[in-house]
Amino acid sequence: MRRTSRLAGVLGILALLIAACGGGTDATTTTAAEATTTTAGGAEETTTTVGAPTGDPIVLGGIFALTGPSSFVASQSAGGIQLAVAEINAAGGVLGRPLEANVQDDQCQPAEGVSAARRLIEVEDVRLIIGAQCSSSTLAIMPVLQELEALMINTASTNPAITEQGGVGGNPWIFRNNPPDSAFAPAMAKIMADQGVKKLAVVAVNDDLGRGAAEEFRKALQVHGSDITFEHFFSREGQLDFSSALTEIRESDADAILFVGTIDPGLPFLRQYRELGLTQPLYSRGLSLTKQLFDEAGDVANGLHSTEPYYVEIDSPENQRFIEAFRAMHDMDPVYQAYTAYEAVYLYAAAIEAAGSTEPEAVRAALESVTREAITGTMTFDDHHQAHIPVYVARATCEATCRVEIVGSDDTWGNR
Amino acid sequence: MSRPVVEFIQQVVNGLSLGSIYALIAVGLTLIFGIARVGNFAHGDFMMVAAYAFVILLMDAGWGLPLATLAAIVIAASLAFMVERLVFRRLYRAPGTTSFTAALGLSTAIQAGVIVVLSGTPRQVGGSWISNVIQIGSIRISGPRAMAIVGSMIALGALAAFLTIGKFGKAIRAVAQNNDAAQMVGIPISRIRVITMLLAGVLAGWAASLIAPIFGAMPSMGVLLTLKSMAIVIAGGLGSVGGALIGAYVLGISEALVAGYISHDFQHALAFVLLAVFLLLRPGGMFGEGTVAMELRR
Repeated sequence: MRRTSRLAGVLGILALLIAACGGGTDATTTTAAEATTTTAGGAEETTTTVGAPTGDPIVLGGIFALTGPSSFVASQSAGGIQLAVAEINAAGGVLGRPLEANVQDDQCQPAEGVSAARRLIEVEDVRLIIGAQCSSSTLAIMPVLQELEALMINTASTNPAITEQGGVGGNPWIFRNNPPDSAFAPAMAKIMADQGVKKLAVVAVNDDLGRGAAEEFRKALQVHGSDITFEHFFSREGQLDFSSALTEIRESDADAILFVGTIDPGLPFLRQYRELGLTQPLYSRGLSLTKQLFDEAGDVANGLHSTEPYYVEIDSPENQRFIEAFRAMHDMDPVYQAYTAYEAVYLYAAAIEAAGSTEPEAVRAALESVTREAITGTMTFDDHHQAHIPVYVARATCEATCRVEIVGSDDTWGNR
Repeated sequence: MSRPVVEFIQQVVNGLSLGSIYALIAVGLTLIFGIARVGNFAHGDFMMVAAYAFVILLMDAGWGLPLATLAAIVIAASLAFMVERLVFRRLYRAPGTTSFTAALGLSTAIQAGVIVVLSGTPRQVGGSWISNVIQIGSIRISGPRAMAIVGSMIALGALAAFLTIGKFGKAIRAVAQNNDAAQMVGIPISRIRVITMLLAGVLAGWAASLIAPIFGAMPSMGVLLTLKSMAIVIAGGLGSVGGALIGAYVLGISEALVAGYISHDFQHALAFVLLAVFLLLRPGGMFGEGTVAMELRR
């Protein structure tokens, strides 16, 4: 009895604290709910004219790192898929059938990615997949696609090997609609060279993303007579301390720093950069210049450059509509992985309509010739199943608040 | 001061702040091991939950630093208490590997829970006190890092006093030394286990309030920290508080120096290479008596 009451006491304290913690988030939940109501109203108009989709749903699989240090990007990708599915269903579905998403977690780990893919294909019979998020996981899943004849559109991995192996490269089952690091690196290296960077220090995540990006940046910098003079690869499993690498960079002759990684390691990295009083300008591949970053990082983001295939700052009516719909549904601004995942759903929808079937073989053939007018450009797949949308370089300028300015772009990369 | 000297001192200072953080986690782990024979892989996750609570209360709810720190301690201690009552208590008679596996599962479950409830977005502590930097020549140490060094020394001093002076402290040491003998002289082992878990939880909560201002809070923050602390605990002698303490500072400083002078690629492997060497040369660790294999069979 005494034990029970003590346990109850502890639970009570916890409940109070959770309630106190929840206080801050209440406001956002309400706005999200209100906002959703508004879009639902907008969607109703469309449904009355088109007629709701009927029949068995067409299920699209997703493989993203919903848990672990890259979960922010995963929530963005899943959010993009969710928005596109809702839009397409409101407009009558695909072949008159509703779309549905089944998103699995791979924690950014190759073994988990393979098991998520096998679960989707063999257990759930889902053969049209979007993913995976991390290069290492995507590369591990690709042979499974070939073995089990399932399709995957990659929307967030940037290792160039994925494109090299896709299509005529040997694996016809993988497509990619986001640019590889071999497209990002030259665009960023050009800006670096313009700004006089000769010796670059690279701090990158120790996996196929970080190692691949470092390799591409080395090649791209050498074109301009510059080079990488310092490399530090950090552990993806929650490395928090960058002080020794940053101390070494501070005392070295490197004249700029490139950070390759997501916001999770990015925030402590930026904080320690400021603590240790570094002054070399910062560039990043993988850190999105978003409100989430600015809110948490503050003025240390001033002058930070990043390179991505999408920014909310891209000024077009199509982008405005996308941003507003995404905000209404998820109460945050989209980053590029939300955009590419969103477009991947539309690519599948177009291919399924064109094929008149959901059979992977038929959809694959249709995807090879599908044309999608996406927000930043036309998405069509080349013989390596790579879509060529422009890459951008942007800079953050922070005074009282931060704003983002696009300072460069390249829409001719990889023209074979 | 010349550049190499500055770099050396800066790396030692970096290492000292790292060591302070390892110490708080490792001492909690070794206490739990000494008393309950549980390799608590979820310990870093108690700290992670407390760190999120600390950041949210400080930044969103507008609580002051002392209150947010207190809340972090209460939350970590409550989690430790609940885990002891609901999970570990049922496994004391099971083989070591069972509680081991249960703790690993708890670790994943806690992280997933935080992602579900808080969407997993990393958080940072803001405010002007955070960006204060103490500068001596070119040697820089940030306010939060200095606080971590001092704060962990205070906590460890208090712990040492608790373990040597009070009745409970003596009982804890007695149980750690010899479970059966302690029980025979009438020490209520079950209650001592609860008190030890609470104590380790308090240390984890205190650690959270010192770590969050430096690194922020994110779901995966406890993983590498727990693994390295586990290596420290084994190398220092399972259950030995002194061994864990020395091991933590040695590892923190050598990591900074190895990364700075030999290779960054080697930094995170260091703890485990040292562990392997220790197990070969001194299977009982620095201050331990039994071997790891013996402990696991108990």
